[in-house]
Amino acid sequence: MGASVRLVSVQDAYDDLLQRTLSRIPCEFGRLIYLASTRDYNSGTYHHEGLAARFQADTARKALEIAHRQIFYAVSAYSLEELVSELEKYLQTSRENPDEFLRAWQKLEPYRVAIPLEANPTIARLFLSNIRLALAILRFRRE
Amino acid sequence: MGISIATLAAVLLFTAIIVWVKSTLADHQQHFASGESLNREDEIASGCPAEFVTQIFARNDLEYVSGLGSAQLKKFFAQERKAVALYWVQQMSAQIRRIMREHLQASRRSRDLELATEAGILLRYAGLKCLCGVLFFTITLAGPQGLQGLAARADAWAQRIREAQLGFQAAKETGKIHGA
Repeated sequence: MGASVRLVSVQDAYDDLLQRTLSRIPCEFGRLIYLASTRDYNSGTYHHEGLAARFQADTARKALEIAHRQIFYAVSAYSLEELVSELEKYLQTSRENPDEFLRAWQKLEPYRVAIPLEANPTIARLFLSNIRLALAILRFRRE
Repeated sequence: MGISIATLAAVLLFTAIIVWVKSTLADHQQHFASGESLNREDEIASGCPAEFVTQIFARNDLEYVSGLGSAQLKKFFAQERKAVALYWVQQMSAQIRRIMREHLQASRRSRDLELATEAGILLRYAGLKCLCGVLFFTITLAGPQGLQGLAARADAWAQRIREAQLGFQAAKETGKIHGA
């Protein structure tokens, strides 16, 4: 009984996260970066003030973790062409100078933080490799 | 002529062995550096999902990059995809090796071994190791594109070994419960 109540609660928190927060972010890649940013760099645990206030902190944490993993696998399954288009949308919504954005992302590789803690290592490697390729393609297009 | 082909084959084999040993060592170092260690049961139950294996070995991304008309990008793509494909082969090979080691240890302690089942698992393991060697060698020389069928077969064999090990563990657990 307790477990089913908990599951329903996590599902509610997950739906709430999708409707109130994630649906406002215009691209899947943006959602991935947003979800990764709700994770503490030191402990690896997720936190979202609003979600934790509506549900319990533990439930909110679980919902964020599930959403992060799902979006990560969805983005990792994109073809290179789809990923380039997603990254381009993300670049446009960031309102940064495209050349500076591309240079910073190629040098600093901030997208590494987008990988969930328990991700399959091969998929994580494919994701990083595809992002590197997509950045190179976007840069090539601008030259 | 015969000698030069044999020499060439020997050199290629030697190169493949060196590449294999170097990459295995690098893999071990990275394993400790990154703290990569999954829960044992998760590790047995899950390999890389088949859709991602297909993606690594598929041609559509290569066709897209070729269409961009940059030799440099094409070269970069070939390097990146080759590295991912080799990593997948290493991961699968290492995972199956660990599973077999555990299986052998458990089998030694088991009192009701079925010889035919054990021989089947061992044969499958030997076949998969050969297939991994062929994949590694071919990817190193020619890249992963076009090897989708071979990769899918290796993935299916690895999955069967994982399932056999899970079945073996479940049978052992049931035996313990009944024996208790």
